[in-house]
Amino acid sequence: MNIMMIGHARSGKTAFMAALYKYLGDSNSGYGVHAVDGQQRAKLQSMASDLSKGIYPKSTDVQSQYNFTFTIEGDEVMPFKWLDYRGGLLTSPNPTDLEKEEFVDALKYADALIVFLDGQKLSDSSNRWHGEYSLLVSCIHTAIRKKNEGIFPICFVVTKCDLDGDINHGLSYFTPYFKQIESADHVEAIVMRSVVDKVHYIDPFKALCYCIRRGFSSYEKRRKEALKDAENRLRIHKTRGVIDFLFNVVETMCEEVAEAFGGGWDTEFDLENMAENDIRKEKRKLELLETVKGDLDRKIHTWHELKWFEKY
Amino acid sequence: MAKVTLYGLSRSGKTCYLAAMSQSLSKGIDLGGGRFFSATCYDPFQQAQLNMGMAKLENGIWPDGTGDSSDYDFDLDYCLKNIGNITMKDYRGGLLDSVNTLDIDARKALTTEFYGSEVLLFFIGADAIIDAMGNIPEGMRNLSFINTLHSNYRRYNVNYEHVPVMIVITKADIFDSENVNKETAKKFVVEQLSALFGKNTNMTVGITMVSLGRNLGRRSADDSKEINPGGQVDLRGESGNLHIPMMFCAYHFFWQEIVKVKGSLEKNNEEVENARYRLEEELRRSSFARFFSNHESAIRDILERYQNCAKEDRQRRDNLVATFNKIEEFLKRDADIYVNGVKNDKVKLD
Repeated sequence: MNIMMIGHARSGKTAFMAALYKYLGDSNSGYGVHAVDGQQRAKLQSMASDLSKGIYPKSTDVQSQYNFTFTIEGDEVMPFKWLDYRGGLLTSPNPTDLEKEEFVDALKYADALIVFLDGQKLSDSSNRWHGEYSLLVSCIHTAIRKKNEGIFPICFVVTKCDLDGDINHGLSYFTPYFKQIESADHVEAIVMRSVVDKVHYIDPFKALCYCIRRGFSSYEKRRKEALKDAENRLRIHKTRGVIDFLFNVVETMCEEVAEAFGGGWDTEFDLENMAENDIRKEKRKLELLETVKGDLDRKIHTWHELKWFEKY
Repeated sequence: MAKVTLYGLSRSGKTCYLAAMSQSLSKGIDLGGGRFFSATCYDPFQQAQLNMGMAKLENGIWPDGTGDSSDYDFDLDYCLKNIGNITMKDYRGGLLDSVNTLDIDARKALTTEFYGSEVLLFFIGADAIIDAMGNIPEGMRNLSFINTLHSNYRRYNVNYEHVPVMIVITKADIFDSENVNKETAKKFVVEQLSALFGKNTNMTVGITMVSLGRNLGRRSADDSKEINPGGQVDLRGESGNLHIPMMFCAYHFFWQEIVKVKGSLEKNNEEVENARYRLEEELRRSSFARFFSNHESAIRDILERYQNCAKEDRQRRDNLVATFNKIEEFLKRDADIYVNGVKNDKVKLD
C-alpha cells in the first residue's frame, strides 16, 4: 500500500512524520511502525528524539520514500510505503522533468492520500492562497482518477491548529469539493486537526490508522490469493499413500548425494513442508488482519473529533 | 482524449479564462441535489502554470498573453466520475493575428491544429464588440476574424458540421460599465457571424458571455496592464459563467455517449429478437430431432446474455439522459444555442 503525503512547503508534513515515529516507531507493545531500511530508521529516530526536545525537523529537501511495516505486538500486520515529497516542488519555478514525472507517477500509484492544509493559511480571509488550494485539488484528482477498485481514502490534516485564527475561511474553499467526496461512491475522506509538539503526537497515528484500515481490503485479497496458491501447491506435493512415501524417501536420498557434490534440488518433502509453512503463515496473517480490522474500526469510531465525509 | 481548441486574437481573454476557470471549476459547481460538475486540470504542474496568471489578476494586473500555444489537460467530472477528458489548446493569439497576411507557415500551422478538434471555442472581448457596434474598424476586423477563422476550418475539414462551436464573449463586465445592453450586443454578434449562425449550416453554435468580475475595465490605450482600480475580481464559477464553455463541451460528450449507447441498445435488442426467433424455431423441432441435437440451452444462454446487455444499456442510457438534461438546464440559463440557424429551447447536439 502506498500512502502519499501532499501539501505545500512548511505545511507540517515532516513534523507529522517525526511525530508518527515518536508515537509508534519500533514499538513492540501495541501498534507500531518499523522502518525497513536501517539508515531511514536512524534518521526517523533522530527526528523523533528532537521532537521530544521541542525541536521541529527541517522540511524535506528531497523526495523520500519510506518502507514501513505496520505491526501489533511486534508482529507484522501489513507493509506499506510512505511517500514524502518536497513541498516546494509544485510551486518551484523550474522543477526538472524527472522530478515532475516522479511526482505525478507517485500520485497515480498512491492508494491513500494525506493532504496537509496549513492552519495559518486557512485562517487568511483573502483569496491569496486559492492558487495553492487549486494545486492540491489537482493533485488529489490525479490520484483518484482512473482508480476503479475499492474506495480511495483521503485524510485532510489541518496543521498548526494551536495557532490563533479561524480556519473556516480557507476550509470554505474546499467545501464544494468535500460535498463531492461525500456523494461519490469511490472516494471517502476525513478532516482532522493536528497538533504536533513535544507533548502532542498522537494525531499522525489516527491518520495512519484511517489510511491503513482502508488499505486492508486489497492487502487481504492478496493474502487470500497467496493462501490459495499455497493450498494448491500442497495438493500437488502432498504425500499420499505408501508408494508416494517410498518414492519421496528415495528422492531425498538422491538429493543428499547430489548435494554432497554441490548439486541438490527441492524434493517433494521440501515442497510439501514449504507449502504447509506458507499456509500456516498466511492463515496467521489473515487472522491478525481480522483482529486488527475490528480494533481499528472501534478506535476510528471513538475519535469523535474526526469529521467524516464518507459513504458507507 | 478529446481535443477542444480555444481560438481568439491577442487579448481576447483565452488565457485569463483558462486560468480562472481551472481554479473555479476544480472545486465543482452544484447542479442541485448534491450533484457536482467539475473541470480539473489533472497535471498539477500545468495547474501551477495557470495559477501564475491568476496570481497577477489577484494583484490587479492583467496576465501576459500566451507566448506559445499551450496544451492543458482537463477531466470533466460529474459527481467525481469522469465524463470526458479534454486537451484544451490555448492557441497563441499573436499567431492568429498573422493569419490574414500571407504568412503561409502560420496558416499551415493553424490548419494542422484545427484537425481533430471536437469542440471549437472562439473568444472575443466585449471591448471589441462594443467597438464593432460603434463602427470602429478595429472592432469590426476583430469580429469578422471569427468568420475568416471558421471559413479556414470549413475548407480543410469535411466534417465541420459535426463539430459544435461556441462564441465566448469575454470581459462581459465591460457591457455593464459602458452601459451597453447585453442582449443587443449578442444579437449584433449573431448577425455579424451569419456564416455560423445562419440557416442550412447544419451546425450547432452557442454563444455566451463570461466575466472575471465587475468593472475590471478595458486594457488602457497606453497598454498599461493594470486592472481598473475600482474593479473587483470574482471567480465563483457561476457568477461569471466560467462554467458554461466547459458545460458546452460536456454536453457534446454526453450527447455522443447517448448516441453510442442508443446504437448499442438497438443492436442488442436486435440480437434478443434473433435469439427469440431461433429459440422458437428450436422448440418447433420434433422431439426425435432434438434428441440427437439439442440447441435449446445454448440459445437460451445467448438470449439471456443479450437481454442482460440490453438491460445495462437501458440503465446507462437513462442515467446519461438524466445527467444530460441536468446539464442542459444549466447551459440554457446562460447560453443561447442555435441549431441549424434556429435558436432552440431544447438543445440538441449532433
